[in-house]
Amino acid sequence: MEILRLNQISPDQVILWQWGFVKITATLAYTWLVMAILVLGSWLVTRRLSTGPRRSLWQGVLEVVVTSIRDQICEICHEDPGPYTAFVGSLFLFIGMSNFLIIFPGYVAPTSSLATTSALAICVFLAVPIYGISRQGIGPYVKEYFQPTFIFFPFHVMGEFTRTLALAIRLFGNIMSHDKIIGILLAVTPLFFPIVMHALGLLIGMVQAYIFSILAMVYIASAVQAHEEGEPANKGSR
Amino acid sequence: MHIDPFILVAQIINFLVLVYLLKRFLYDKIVQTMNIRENGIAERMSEIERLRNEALSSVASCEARIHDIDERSDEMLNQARLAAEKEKARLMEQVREEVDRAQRRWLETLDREKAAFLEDLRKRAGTYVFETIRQVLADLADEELEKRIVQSFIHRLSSLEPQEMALLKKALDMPEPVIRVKSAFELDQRLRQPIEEVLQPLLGMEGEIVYELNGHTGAGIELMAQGYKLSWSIDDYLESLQEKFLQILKEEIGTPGVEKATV
Repeated sequence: MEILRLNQISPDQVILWQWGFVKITATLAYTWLVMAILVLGSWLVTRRLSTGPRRSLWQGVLEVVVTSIRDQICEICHEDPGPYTAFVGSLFLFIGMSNFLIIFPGYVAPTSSLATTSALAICVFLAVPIYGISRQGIGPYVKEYFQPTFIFFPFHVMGEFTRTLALAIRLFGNIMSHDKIIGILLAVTPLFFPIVMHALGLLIGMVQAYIFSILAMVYIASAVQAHEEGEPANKGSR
Repeated sequence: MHIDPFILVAQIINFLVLVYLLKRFLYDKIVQTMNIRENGIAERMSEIERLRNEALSSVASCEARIHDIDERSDEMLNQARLAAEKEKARLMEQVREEVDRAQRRWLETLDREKAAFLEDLRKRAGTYVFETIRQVLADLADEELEKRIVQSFIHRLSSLEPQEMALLKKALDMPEPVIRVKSAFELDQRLRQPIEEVLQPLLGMEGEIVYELNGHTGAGIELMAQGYKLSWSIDDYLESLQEKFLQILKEEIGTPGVEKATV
């Protein structure tokens, strides 16, 4: 009896098209699907935006989402959320939408692919010094790695890598494990119980999207504000 | 767990593209729209605040004006009330004066009417009394009375004051003087004789005594000689008494306060 299908182990293993090392896997396909939904939905809603008091339902939904993202960012960095909204908000929306679509049969979340979560973590890993250097300049930013003494430099660097790895593994592990649990439960108890687990999976997916984006914002904020506060840049790592 | 480098790079690119697209189609537009709306709301709120302030100032102004109007109306009401009371007092005083005047006029008229009535009554009473006296005297007239009258006339004639006597003599100092003796009753010879005994010395021999009967002389005798007149009559007493009576009556009527006090 086949308990788990191949695509339930990892969508990276499902290759839809390949030409040399270039290959289209299920991960990419579902990623594009998620991207298409997000971008097309945004485009459709924002084509005709109302600046008056009366607005459409979907405009209201998007305004609530964007406002919530900006408020969360503002609570963390205590400054104008404008420069971080696109990056952090896209992280949340992408991961959230990827995890939300698991309610549809046959869909496998791209975030259950370690490549996807690693790509997102690498983006965060790169975004932190970019935001930090753009705000403080390269000298003060690099100097933070030698605080309080130069001996701490390797620990700072190690912390950067480990937290990036932790971001990737945390998201991948939660989503992938949930997929596996659903697959196993479907095989063992096909009625009712998988529905509950799906609902739990939705909650876990949203929580993971929130955690990932909030942690990314915390890292960025610590890099941006480290110089101003005189604290280590990795204070928010966990 | 194997990570395909191509998938990894592709996902990084995918995410960056997604960030760009969402920034272009979602965040910028939504934020811009919200900013426009917030600005519009802020403008409307400021406009509302301005209108509210204007309304509050208008309300305050209206309340002040209403308060002023109330005060002025109260003041005008008080003034009107005072003026009305003053006018009422003036009219009451005027009415009181008119009533007093009317009362005075009425009292004066009453006094006059009363005085006139009293005067008329007294005159009538006096007249009636004197007429009665005259009537009584006329009814009682007889020879004895006529004799008494002649005696009284002779007594008077003989007891004339020297000045009176001089005036009589002067009146008779002319050729053929005439003395007219008028009486209300017929003087017979028995009554004429004492008269002539008194007058003859004054007339002398050429003089003449003419006796006339005159009902107007009343119970008495009258002597007339060239402008001199000497008479004795009960009517003279009565007339003198009547004149005194009228004099007293006039004096009493002339003092209405006394009359009023006696009313």
